[in-house]
Amino acid sequence: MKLTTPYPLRLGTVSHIGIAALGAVGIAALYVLDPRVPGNYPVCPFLSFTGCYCPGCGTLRALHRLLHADVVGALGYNPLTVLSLPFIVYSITTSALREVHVPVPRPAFIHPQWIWVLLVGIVVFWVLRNVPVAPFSMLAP
Amino acid sequence: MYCTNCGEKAGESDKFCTNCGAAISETLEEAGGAEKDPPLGGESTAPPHVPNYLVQAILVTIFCCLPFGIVSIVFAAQVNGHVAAGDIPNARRASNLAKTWAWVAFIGGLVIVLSWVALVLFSGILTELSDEFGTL
Repeated sequence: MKLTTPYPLRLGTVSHIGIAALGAVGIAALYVLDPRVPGNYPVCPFLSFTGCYCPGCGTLRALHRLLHADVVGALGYNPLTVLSLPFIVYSITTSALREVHVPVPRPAFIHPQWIWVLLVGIVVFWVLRNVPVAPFSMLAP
Repeated sequence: MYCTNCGEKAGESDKFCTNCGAAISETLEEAGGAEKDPPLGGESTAPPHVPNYLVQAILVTIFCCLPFGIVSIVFAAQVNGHVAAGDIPNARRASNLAKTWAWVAFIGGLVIVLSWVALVLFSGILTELSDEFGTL
């Protein structure tokens, strides 16, 4: 049977449009306003209160460097953000395509073991980037 | 009839899945009119897709810096563990928990960041005001 009725306006559709609009405004603001300049953005509350870097620390600066085509600089601010970005973009894009009923094949089933590895990886990254000694301090933003 | 997108049970006349919103008749046709009425919770040749919300869980873990994101990743891993074992009801349960904790982390992070930005702006205005009154 062919689909003839217009798509019902669901919460999912609204939130996808909202995320796209917010993302566009955010990217434009981030391109213009350099997060490396103190005072352009507030310091992260986690860093302010604990004095520690969280796994997301340096994301704004990394994305700003990526917007200016500086991949090496971006990796220096937050390698985790840069490495996970392709997966995040892919996931949001396929999710938006499914929302308008474009069939997108699902990626292969991830073995649960890999999710545990990922979890440990994030926590280890979180701890190591706070160690102020030579090889680990490279992970700090 | 079952939704071929998420595996949720659907009425015969439903055009859209009540769980994930996928067009049911369309997806069924594309699957070549695949299996109809697989035994509930039993093993079928193609296990239903149970969303594990892994991407959302990682996003909130990295960017909200709250421990709730880690809880969400743990449940995401459990979803795939249960699916691999063919235990779909428990996979659904873990899936719902993964979704819930991702939301908790997201809203918690949003509230903290927004109130933090408001506080920074407010204190900035206060400093400017006191500077102005200081020169009077």
